[in-house]
Amino acid sequence: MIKEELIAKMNEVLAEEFEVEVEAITPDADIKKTLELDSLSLVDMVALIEDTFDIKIDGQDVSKIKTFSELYDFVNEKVNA
Amino acid sequence: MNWNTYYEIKDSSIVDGLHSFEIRIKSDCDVYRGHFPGHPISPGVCNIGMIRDLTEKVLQKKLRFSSIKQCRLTGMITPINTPELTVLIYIATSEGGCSIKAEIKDSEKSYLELKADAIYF
Amino acid sequence: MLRDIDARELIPQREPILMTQTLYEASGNDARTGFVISQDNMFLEDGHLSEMGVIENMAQSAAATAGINTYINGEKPVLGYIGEIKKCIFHRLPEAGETLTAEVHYISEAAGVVLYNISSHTENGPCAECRMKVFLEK
Repeated sequence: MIKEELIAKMNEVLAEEFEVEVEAITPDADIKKTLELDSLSLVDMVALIEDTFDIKIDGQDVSKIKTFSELYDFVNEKVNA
Repeated sequence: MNWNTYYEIKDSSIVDGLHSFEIRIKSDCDVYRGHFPGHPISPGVCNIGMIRDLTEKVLQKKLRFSSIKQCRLTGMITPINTPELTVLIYIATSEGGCSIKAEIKDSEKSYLELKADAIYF
Repeated sequence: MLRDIDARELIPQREPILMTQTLYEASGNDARTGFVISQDNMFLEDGHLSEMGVIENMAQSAAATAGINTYINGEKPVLGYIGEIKKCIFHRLPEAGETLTAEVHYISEAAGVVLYNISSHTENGPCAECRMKVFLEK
């Protein structure tokens, strides 16, 4: 999967799950603020990404990620590992 | 479960279809022997049961949940630290049952939010 | 694979609200638990376990599953709380005397919150299913 496809897919599923406009998801935006994630809902994002890209990721790693561009890089590395 | 042993209603009102109850969680309920020994914390399911019990009082009908669409438990309720709480319930009745939206809160924060469907029983 | 562990080794809940008895088996992050519904269960209503009892059985089964690693390390059980219940459907409320079995399937975890899919049944058919988040006190 090329990275542009991954980014488009990621933005689409995140916007749908967390009920935000897809335009609100920009590379430098803060993930938790944009998607209104609290400590309870972070695991929903982890589960959604795992399901969408058929990968396993560590929740500890994800909780350290701040922006969408960092998230794209992190998931891209896992998908193309 | 006999809900009278778990909580008591201090006051109630209704504004624009929203039912509001001021309640007190009783500290001497038997459930705290096991939840947890020496460390009383109100079980989330008991607070869900309290919402069903209050809805039954409003409708004057016995209810059973058919589904819980979502219930978020965002704060810890204890009979020691947070005995006095407000329970807000919005009920939409339909044939054979109702949809319930409820929240348990105090002036500080929200503890529980529930969206559920129930049937008359 | 672990088999037939007393739930009291895995979770801190006790009577009268101990709502699972035995972790039958655990494999990976998944597990299966069993609970015989006694005549004096606090959640019985007209002879049937209430919806609240059915949820608490699923919640304690999930907390017991989450407690396996603590148990293996020889530590005391940690407190686990329900963080969220989603898409919970009740099929049938079981009666006293039936054995309630819960199947706990691990999905993900992040920030101390573990997400599970759980279903429960007795010898007389399916009882409930839900997606549940368990918050573990560290």
